[in-house]
Order: sequence, then C-alpha cells, then structure tokens
Amino acid sequence: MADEKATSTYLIAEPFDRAVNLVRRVLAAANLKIVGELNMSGRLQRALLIRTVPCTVLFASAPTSPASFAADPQEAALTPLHIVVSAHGSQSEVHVLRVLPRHDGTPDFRAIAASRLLQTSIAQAIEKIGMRASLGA
Amino acid sequence: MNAGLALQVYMMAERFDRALKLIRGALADMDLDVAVEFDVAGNLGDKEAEIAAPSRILLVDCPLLAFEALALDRAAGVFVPLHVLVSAIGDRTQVSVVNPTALFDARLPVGAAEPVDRMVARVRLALESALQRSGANSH
Repeated sequence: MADEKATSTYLIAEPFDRAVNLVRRVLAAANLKIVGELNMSGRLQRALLIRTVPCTVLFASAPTSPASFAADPQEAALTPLHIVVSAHGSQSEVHVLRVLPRHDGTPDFRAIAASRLLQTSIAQAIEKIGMRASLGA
Repeated sequence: MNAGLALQVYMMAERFDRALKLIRGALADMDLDVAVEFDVAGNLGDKEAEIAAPSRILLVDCPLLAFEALALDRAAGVFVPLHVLVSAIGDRTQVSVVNPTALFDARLPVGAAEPVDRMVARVRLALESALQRSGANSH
C-alpha cells in the first residue's frame, strides 16, 4: 500500500520570482544542470484562459549523463527530473520527486537507482534555502 | 508497482525524422501538446547517443488534464508533462512512454492520479495511431 508520499515539499520564505532564482542558483552551485524550464501557470493561462498561482517547472539533470537512454528507455521517464516551484502566498513551495527505496525485495531498476542519486543531490541543494514540509507519511 | 507494466515501447518502421513528424501529428490529433523538447545528445549530454543515433525526449501534456492534475496540489508537476522518448534505431524508430506514477509504491499528490492516468492513456492512443500510420508493430 502506498503510505509514503511520492513527492517532497520545501517551503522557501521568499516570493515566487526570487525563489525561482534561488533554486536555480543552488542547483548550479551543486553542479546540477537545468536543461530547460516550463512556465506552467503561463501555459495554462494561454491555453485555457484560467489564472492559477505562479508555477514553473525546472528540468534538472546530472552534469554528466550516467548512461545511454538507448540501453534503458525507462531512464528517460525520470530524466530530466522535474523541480516544481510555485507561489504560496508571500512564500514559495518547491516540490521534487521522492525516489523511494523499494520495499518488496525486488532489485532497483537502473533508471530508478540513477534518479535516486540525482534526487538526493537536488534535495541537498534545496535544503540550503528551504525548509522541508511535513512528509505526512 | 511494476515498472514493466509502466513502460510501453513501440517500434515504427520509419526513419527518425518521419517518425517524429507522424508522432507530432498524432499527438496534436489527440489534443496533446509538446510543451518542451530535449535533444538527448545536445541537452542532456548522453555521449553514447551522440555517437549512436538521434534521440529526443518530448515532454507531452494536455493543458486541461494538466490543470486538473495541478488544481489541488502543484506537486503533480513532478509527473507532468509526460516524457516520450523517440530514438533512431537504424532505419526504424523506437518510441517509449512510461507512466511515471506507476514506477513507485508511493502516494501521489492529491487529485493527480486520475488526470495523469488519462493523459498516459491518451498519449498511448496517439502513439498507436502514429504506429498504424507507419504500418508497423509494437512490443
């Protein structure tokens, strides 16, 4: 049964635009690459004419690719990892995937193991500027 | 969860550029957008891909389903848009799509599961349509 949350949330005591810049900065300092970004709230407003709270997705990858996607297509499902920054009143939230260890005794797929390393680096970087919200497990 | 069930791989009997065109057309027919696109060698530094063959990751979503997924909890953006990997293999093209929510035994953000599952189903339908247009098979 899925008891643990699939994502981690961090609170940053800064408004949205500043928080996005801070996240970019700490990821760069951790030698992680932001290979792209998506203004999700802007995209939804353009497509649906619906205003939502500011939300940007940063796409992060390790500085060097650990392996070829041709060898393991599942790795492409998790690379680059999405880092979601959204406004939360005068503060901001950052959401990242929690690549959890498997509890069923089966070995990790290589893609999941590689993503866990990347996720750990991202979490360590974001913990420098944000406070982790309750896991709610 | 079973990652084997989460992964769907298609083989198209088309060269990479033509397959990419067919896939884009099929996605558009299903009201799916390519929100962002990465060249695997160029953007992600996959040196093996650079040497071997062209490969792209298309980040695909449908604005309405994305809105549904994110409405209650923006954390759903961790899973949306979906990743579709398109890779040249000789004269053919392999297309892979994974349901990221099926990879882990974990609780998804509130309200995300159903729209993400519907998005994955729609992407798979689009890819199957592209496959039929190319007259190939999947495995």
